[in-house]
Amino acid sequence: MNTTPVADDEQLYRSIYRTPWHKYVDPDGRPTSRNFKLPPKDADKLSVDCFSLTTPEQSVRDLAKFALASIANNEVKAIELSTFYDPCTVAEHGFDNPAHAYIWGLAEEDDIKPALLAQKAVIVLS
Amino acid sequence: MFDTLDFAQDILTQQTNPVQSGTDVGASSLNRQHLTAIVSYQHLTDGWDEDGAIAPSHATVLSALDIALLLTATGHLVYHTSPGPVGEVMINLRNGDKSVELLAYPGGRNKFVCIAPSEVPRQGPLTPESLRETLQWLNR
Repeated sequence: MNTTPVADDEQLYRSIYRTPWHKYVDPDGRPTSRNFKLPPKDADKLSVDCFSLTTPEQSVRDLAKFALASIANNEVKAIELSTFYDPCTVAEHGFDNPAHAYIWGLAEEDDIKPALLAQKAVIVLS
Repeated sequence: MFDTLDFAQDILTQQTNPVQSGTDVGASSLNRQHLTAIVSYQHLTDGWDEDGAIAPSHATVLSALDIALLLTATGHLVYHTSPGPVGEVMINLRNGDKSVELLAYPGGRNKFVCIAPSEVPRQGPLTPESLRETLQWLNR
């Protein structure tokens, strides 16, 4: 695990899968708790990008398949989660993403913090 | 053997005639799109979100449908439904700033989550008792 913390005032981007017929956001166009639930592949951490090191367009990669949510890192820290840089490199991951970071501290059985994260997040690109 | 999914599909393929039914603005009418969405989750396959999400199993979709039909029968409006990354189905209800999530998880590990401003968030196993208490809290 990288030990460089993300600054409190950083904004974090998280991609949200969508299809033309299903947006996977709520009727008000806001993220849902399921957008912040731990995925099985990452086990105990949630993948995000740091606003100051990327652009919304770079972060979302494919706007036909993903929308982009944004949340302030101080909101993440307010519910006792931590964010650490974890840049992706071609050598290790097969692609380059210097803005990549992980939110740590979510538990598999926790469905409260994903809901709290969703309440504080907004869609910035869709 | 009775199959909730077959039953729901039969109901949802029938066109409602508001004049004949006289109940067009009830929960059954307003929840229809959410029931349809839950039924559609049976067609998801593993990796449906292009990020390794597990598809809801037939049993999980049935369980979510049972919850949604119970809510509909008792007049509760569903705000939103969504599949999740570990094969679960979320049913969200709202009342002002209050939010309840009823989660159908694989293996029948169903849960409730209650979130409201200035209240400590709660989660727990979804049982007939906790469902009743959760809905009472939501409607208070």
